[in-house]
Amino acid sequence: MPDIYFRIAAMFLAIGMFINSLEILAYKELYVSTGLMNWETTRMRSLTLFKSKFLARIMGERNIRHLAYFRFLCAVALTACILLNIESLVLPTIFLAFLSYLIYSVRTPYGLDGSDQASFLVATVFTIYALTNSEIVRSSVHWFLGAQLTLVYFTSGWNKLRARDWRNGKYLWQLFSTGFYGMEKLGDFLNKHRWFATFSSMCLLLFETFFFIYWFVPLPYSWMILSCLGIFHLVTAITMGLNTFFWAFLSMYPSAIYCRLLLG
Amino acid sequence: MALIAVLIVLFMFTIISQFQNKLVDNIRKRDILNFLPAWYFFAPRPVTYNLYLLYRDEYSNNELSAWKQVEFSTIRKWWHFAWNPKKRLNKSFFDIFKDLMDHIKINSKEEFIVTSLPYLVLLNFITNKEHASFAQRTQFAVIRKEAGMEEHEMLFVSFFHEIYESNLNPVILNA
Repeated sequence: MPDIYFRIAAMFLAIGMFINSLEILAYKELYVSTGLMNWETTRMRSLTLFKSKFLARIMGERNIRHLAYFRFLCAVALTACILLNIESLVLPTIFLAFLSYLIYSVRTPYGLDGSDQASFLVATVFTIYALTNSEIVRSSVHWFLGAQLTLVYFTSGWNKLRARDWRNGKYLWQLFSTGFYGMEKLGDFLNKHRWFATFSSMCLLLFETFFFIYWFVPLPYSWMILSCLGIFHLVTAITMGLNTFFWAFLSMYPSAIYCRLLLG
Repeated sequence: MALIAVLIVLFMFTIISQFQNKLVDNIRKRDILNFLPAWYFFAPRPVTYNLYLLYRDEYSNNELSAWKQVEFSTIRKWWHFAWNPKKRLNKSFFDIFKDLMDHIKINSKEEFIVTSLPYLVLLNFITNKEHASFAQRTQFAVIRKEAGMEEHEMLFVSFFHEIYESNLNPVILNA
């Protein structure tokens, strides 16, 4: 039976998939042949994609709803497997979840974000997890995700830390002043209180860049660091509307906890 | 052991894909599965401006219509923390525009730009918008307004392109 860390992570993944599938159904116009995330035009990026009749049948406009239903059913099946302890169905359902992310990733190179990439990666390595009962492989999957989480925060933090306008908070208030990712009132507030923008920005940069100390500090501090970053994802969901990021990155946390406990 | 080897190789690839250089760019171009993650998240430079997509038509009498703005979701609602289906419209527009600018940096010749994927996606999107029935050709433009600035900056203006009859809207003609 998969361990508790896998089960909790799979639940987070399933919640993300559930929201995602409903969002696709609620805004299908984006995915049809006249939308920005269509298959009919974007398949021209590769001759293989362009020529494939099989892919055209799967990805085409007629199947948008079916692909969303497919992801929805994957989320429901995965949740049922985990909650009802149906071990025999874990592999098929997690593989179908992987397939669902693969289809959308191939469908268009535009409009996908970090949450899609994180969920795709989690579904991929969880398929490897479910393929075997080997403790070593399963543990390796957790280590992979723990290391990946460190890579995520370090890459993001280090690349920001090198930019002066991230360090002085200018980019933070400018980001929150945009219509696409921002929040008008918060953007205005940060603009008026630049010291707070600098402080918030530096907190974010330091937490992200130095997340790796999570692996070395005493356990209570490790939980504090992880909680702070969990809250950070919640805040970005509220202020920037990045709702699926929260579930996608949270699905890596149980593995990070598993590995940290092993280190003692 | 084979599965562990797969995980190690996968992890190495995810590390390599975090670098920003020509080699990684070339690997990404071949990654049609979009599998290799980029964990930059608004780094080193985030989106600090609003982008606007506009289009206008050329009528049969050679007159030009006024620019019309394509509506994007730009007002944050309280429920977006849980439910935000339109975020992908914004993201896809940003991605497409960034890709278009990258193409122009490589080669700014007309035949190269008009046959590039981002140009074709935007053109397809715009030609399928509502147009007056006497419109013959259409053109789109992207403008930018930097946060905290008053001025708008025109970043890109497309060529004019024929509109198919099926996309013409008789309701606009009567309006």
